[in-house]
Amino acid sequence: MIRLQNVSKSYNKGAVQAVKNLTLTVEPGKLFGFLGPNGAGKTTTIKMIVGLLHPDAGGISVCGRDALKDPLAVKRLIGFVPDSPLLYNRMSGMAYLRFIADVFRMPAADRERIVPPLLKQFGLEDAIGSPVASYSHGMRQKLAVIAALIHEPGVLIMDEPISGLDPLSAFQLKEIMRGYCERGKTVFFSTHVMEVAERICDIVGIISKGELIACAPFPDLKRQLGEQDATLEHIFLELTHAEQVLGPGTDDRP
Amino acid sequence: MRNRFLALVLTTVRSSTLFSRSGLSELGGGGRVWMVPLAVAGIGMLGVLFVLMAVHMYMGVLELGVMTGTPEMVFFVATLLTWLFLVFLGIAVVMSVFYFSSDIPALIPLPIPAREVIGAKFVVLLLYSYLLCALGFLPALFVYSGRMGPSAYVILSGLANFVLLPVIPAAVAVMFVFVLNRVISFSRYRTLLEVLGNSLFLIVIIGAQLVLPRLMIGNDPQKVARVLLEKGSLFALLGKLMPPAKLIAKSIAGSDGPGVHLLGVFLLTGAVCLVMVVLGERIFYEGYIMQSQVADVPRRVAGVRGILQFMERSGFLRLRPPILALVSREWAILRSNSTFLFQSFSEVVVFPLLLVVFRLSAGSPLDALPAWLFESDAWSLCCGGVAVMLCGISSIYPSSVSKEGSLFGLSLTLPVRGSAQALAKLLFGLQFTLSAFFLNLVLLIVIFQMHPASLLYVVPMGLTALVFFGSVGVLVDVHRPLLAWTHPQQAMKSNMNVLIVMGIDVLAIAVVGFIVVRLLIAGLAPREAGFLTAGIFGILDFLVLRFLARSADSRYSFGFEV
Repeated sequence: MIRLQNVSKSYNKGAVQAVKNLTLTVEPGKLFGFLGPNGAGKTTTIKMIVGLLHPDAGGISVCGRDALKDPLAVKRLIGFVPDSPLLYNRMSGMAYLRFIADVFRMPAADRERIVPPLLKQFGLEDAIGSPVASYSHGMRQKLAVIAALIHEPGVLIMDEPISGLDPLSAFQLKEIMRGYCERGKTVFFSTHVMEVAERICDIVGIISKGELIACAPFPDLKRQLGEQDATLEHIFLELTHAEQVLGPGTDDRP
Repeated sequence: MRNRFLALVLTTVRSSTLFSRSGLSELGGGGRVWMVPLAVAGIGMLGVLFVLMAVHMYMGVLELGVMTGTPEMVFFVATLLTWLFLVFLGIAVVMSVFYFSSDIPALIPLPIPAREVIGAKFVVLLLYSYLLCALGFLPALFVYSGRMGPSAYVILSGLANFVLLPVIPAAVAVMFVFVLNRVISFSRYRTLLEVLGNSLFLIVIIGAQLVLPRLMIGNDPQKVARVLLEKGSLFALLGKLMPPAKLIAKSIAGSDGPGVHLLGVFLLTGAVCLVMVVLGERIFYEGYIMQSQVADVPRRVAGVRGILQFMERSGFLRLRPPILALVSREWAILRSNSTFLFQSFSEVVVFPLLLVVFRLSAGSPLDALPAWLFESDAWSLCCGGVAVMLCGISSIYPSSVSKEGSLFGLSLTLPVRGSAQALAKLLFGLQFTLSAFFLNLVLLIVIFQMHPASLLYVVPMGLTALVFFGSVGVLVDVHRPLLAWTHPQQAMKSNMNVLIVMGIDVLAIAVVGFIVVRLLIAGLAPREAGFLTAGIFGILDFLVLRFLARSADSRYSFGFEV
């Protein structure tokens, strides 16, 4: 479970308010899709959950543990895929996975059990011995996803994980995400692909200018807006770009 | 399962140093296997020279120590010098290893305590430091053992101290950088800090050139010993300046109770490490997680760009000519990293600085020159020629296309002719070389008594020659740019085009210089010779610029594959 309580973060000594008073709970077994325009505060929120940024105010907890007071315990529970994969170029893919396994104190037998199926699933078996520097963007993304899954985390947090993946790998990842939730684990991911969010997410959160403007299962969102036939794309645009979509002076969202 | 810290150390070392298989293959990558032995030979040669110099200096220090009854002073001096170098050079390395390393954002979300990350990074820092320690400290051990007779205790204690030697200065450098990062955001002011660091290094190198010859020539060791002995024990005097270095010196020589001082060194080193880890654990990650990123706040733009922006806003300039936009883009490329910035600006200031150093170190510089040269009518022409040569041979032009690197593809998509792009690069480079040229002329007039009236022919000579050198540089880089580089140094300092253009420039200077000297000997007046040189370079400019324009148009149209 992920819980954010009145979380705020500003940049440039308060000149830019990236996240404003964000309160959000993602229950275990739920697949949460985090949507928002560019610069809305998605990546800042994710960075605060995984410990890459310290919030100015508010509290964050993961599986009941305080992320600010006990960050190491929280990090042990999380698998994280950043928006652009941060990998060691001079290492081979396998050496990198071994490193991650060691950091999470995984016995070699567990590693041998978990890694090969993932490599096969993402089609990385042939390249895994090559240096990461020789990988394409998609291959790097796949390696980052495998590294996040390797210790079978309780909470999977991914920042735009589908970008750069080929259709098969994107499909596999979506299956993995759903499978994770079915096993009672939590998945929190950001995306710009509305169709994906609409199809696989249990709950959709929409952030705009640092504020959470909607957070509900997709059918509930449609009901709240009174648009039963609307797509998530339409709802998203209506909520985040009301003026451009509906014309000036019509910002009367519910 | 490996130990987590060991895994982290191995990963950090393999990924951030050349001490790995892939690091070595990267060094000799692209089939350039000869690079590895060449690099080893180059570093080895420099190392041998440094060791010879150190041995010579330590022999003098040891004699001084023997005279004053404190032979261990050689270890004190060796330790102090090594530490100073390690702290001074270490600050830049610490910033690079701890703060500019791309793996930190990958490590923070992992369940690794900050102290372990600091420890792994510290190991990398020590690996870099041992090379310098070997050059700075081991010669003192050899010199001491040779003069005082080899002793097992001295050798063992010396080696133990060698192992511990970089730990204290490296830890001090790390703590300094940790605290500095609390005051100045490294992520925001990275380029500025790197340029400042490089400039400081340049100033120290030039300062050392100024101070060392005076120290070595002007001081008599016996006189120094006598003066210092009059003030009490020399070693005690120096030891007050740096007690830990004195402790190390005593621990190696085994004076005043062998073993006791060595234990002291171990305890001191451990204590400093502990302080570093405790401090680091509190504030190291803060630099990242408390960061306040630079937001898109409109900034005031100064200089020519500021004037242009003002003119655009005021409606005086409706359409900015593409050539100005391209020159402005060259500035953006230059500012993209500290290497480009520092290299370009140092080429403007380094020769004027050397002229000033020459003036300061040589007293009256004209005394150092042969009278026939200084008294000759052609003296001002010679000065002008030197100024042209100092400014013309530049790495700015032959790397002008290479500097674009992977962004070069963007240039090919611009609806601007290749000749305009090449001209923008030439104009941009001329801003640097002409500034340097005029600065040098002022210094030559002030320091070397070059006649101001000679500017009448020296300036046209310089302008035409510098345009020629610049055009040749851009031409060569247009033809064979080095676009695939991983570090900016490869684009500017390690670019073969720079060497090729340097060769062409030197050849042109030699040919034109030969013609002018022959004409001067035959009785041509310096003024006519200056104008003639300007004329020769003017014709060369016309030819090279035409060729450059055609060549660039053709290359930018369909000649490149990116």
